[in-house]
Amino acid sequence: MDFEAAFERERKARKRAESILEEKSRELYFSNQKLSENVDSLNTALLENKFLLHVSQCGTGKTELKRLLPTIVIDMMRVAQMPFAVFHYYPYSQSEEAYYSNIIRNAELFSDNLDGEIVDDISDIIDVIKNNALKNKGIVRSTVDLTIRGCSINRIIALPIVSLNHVNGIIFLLSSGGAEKQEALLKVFTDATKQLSIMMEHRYQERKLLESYKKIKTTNVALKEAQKKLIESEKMAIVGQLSAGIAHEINNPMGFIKSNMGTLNEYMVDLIEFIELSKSLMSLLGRSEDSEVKSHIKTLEQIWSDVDIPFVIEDSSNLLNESQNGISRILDIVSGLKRFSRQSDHKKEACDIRQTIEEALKIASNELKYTVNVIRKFDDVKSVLVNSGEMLQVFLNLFINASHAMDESGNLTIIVKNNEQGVNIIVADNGAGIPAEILSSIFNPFFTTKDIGVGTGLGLSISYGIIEDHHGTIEVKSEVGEGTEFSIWLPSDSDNT
Amino acid sequence: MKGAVFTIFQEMIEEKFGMECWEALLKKSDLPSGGIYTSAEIYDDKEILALVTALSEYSGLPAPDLIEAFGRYLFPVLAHSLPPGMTDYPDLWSLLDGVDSVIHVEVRKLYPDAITPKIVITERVDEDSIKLMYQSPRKMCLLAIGLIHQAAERYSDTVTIKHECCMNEGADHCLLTVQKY
Repeated sequence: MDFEAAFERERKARKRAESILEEKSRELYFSNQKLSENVDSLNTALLENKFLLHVSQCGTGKTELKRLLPTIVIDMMRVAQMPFAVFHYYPYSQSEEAYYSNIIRNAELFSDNLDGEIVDDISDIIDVIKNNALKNKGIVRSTVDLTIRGCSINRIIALPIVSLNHVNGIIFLLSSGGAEKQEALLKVFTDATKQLSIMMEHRYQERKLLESYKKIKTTNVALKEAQKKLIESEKMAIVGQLSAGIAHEINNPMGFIKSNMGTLNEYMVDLIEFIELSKSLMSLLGRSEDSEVKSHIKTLEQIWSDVDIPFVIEDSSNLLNESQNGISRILDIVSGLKRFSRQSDHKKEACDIRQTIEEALKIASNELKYTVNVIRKFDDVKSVLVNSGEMLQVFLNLFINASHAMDESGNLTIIVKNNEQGVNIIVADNGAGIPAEILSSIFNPFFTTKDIGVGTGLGLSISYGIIEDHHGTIEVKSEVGEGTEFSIWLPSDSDNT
Repeated sequence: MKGAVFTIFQEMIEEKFGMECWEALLKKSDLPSGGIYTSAEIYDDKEILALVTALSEYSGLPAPDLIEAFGRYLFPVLAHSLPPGMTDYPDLWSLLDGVDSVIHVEVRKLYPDAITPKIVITERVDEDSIKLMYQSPRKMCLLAIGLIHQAAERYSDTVTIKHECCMNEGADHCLLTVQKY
């Protein structure tokens, strides 16, 4: 038997088997490699997706870019496996300050914290890259040669976030690896920054819109307020004109009625004297024997008792007195209407309004003494150009009204203080308050809540007229059960002259 | 060490000294593997050293010479085992350049556990001379020298190889000057 030939055959067979095995191993290696490449690319895709999702989630929340950037930068480092990053934030408005981050480490690669001093080493390089990115508003790749924490940095990639043609922020990625894999990721990052830019634009526009909406709303409110005031003053002007006309028309007939009444009164005195003398003559003649005289006397006595001459005499003087009182009241009202319609020509002079207030308090003291506790809060105020008599009337009016509003004891607070271009006087009570539905009518002439005969309803309208005449304003705030506050503003002396 | 080295060593013994010699070496060395080698496996480095020592005693030739000779014998077989195209280098220097960057990479693909020596050209002195670094825990620089000689022959070159320093003399790597002439 040829053992050697058999041995050779066996050896060849083994070698062939080994080479087949090797071939299979090689194939296995390649398919393994392909598989792991696929897994790698799937992982990368997953990371990219997670990253983009995160960016869009961050963006749809109401966070500002400044707060958003750290999260995104950390995400980018993790996805691209870059060791460090820095970011800058440049706000839209010049008033807000820009923010430059410290160097941020990739926590997956470095466990310990970094100190700020390292930033100084790279800040010059970052500055150059920043200027470049600000200029061309696009991605900037710079080759560098740095070592941070034993990690050599060969590239810095700047990703600007540009919205509304303004660089809103820049992300600087410090890279230590090869550029090939990064380029694919950079595309993803650029997409993400674009997405961010759009979101920031939207956010900015939204904010602007909201601002202008607020502005319009405020303007609208102011406009409505002005409109209301305009209508009010227009109404008051018409009422004033009307009152002036009425006052004038009533004044003339009242003039001769008053004078006639005076004359009539004198006549009456004469007539009564004559009648009383006639009466004594009648009793003297009563004893006469002459029948003709007797019959006349009888007729006269009949009339005397029928008419009840003593009552007529007594009542006539009452009637005349009442009429004269009535005439005086009518004349008062007419002059009040005249004053409301600013037909007064009283002179104004510089005065300390506090003195006028004190005077008014003195006059009203009878009314206020027992029920009202007066609280004065007077600042040292500028002088105002006023007609002190008229102002006295205004304050008297307010104080009396206040005391009427406070049935039992209450506080009357008077505040005097300087205000822009004038003096502010606040008269506040803690009385019954004025219901909202009539608050707008209180300055109307003849508007009153007092019983007939107690008030004319002209007090506040006259006060209104006086303040208007002084180029000032009078406003009222009231809460039922809480009290009422009148706020008067008078321009200061210098403005009036 | 890679099983292929053992199988090729066995072939060399059988070819140069006869099958009886191989049997004698196995008997003398009493190896854990029992001398059953396949290229797919990896065996303890000590086995090849034991076999070389035994061969040196058997043949009376010094071990270093034997190792270098084995290197020469090994080269064509190893070259043949590589995938086609892997050994198409234009000259010796580029082949040496490719050992670490291409060939050993290829080996590790098939045998991820294989420990391949580090062989790097550290300096190109001139057109005909280079300095080569060898570094391996096995310290088998002589095997590398044999391989280089044989490789040079393939390009019809003759080289002298001189140790500047050697791991076997305590250095942490061997530095070889390879000079064509």
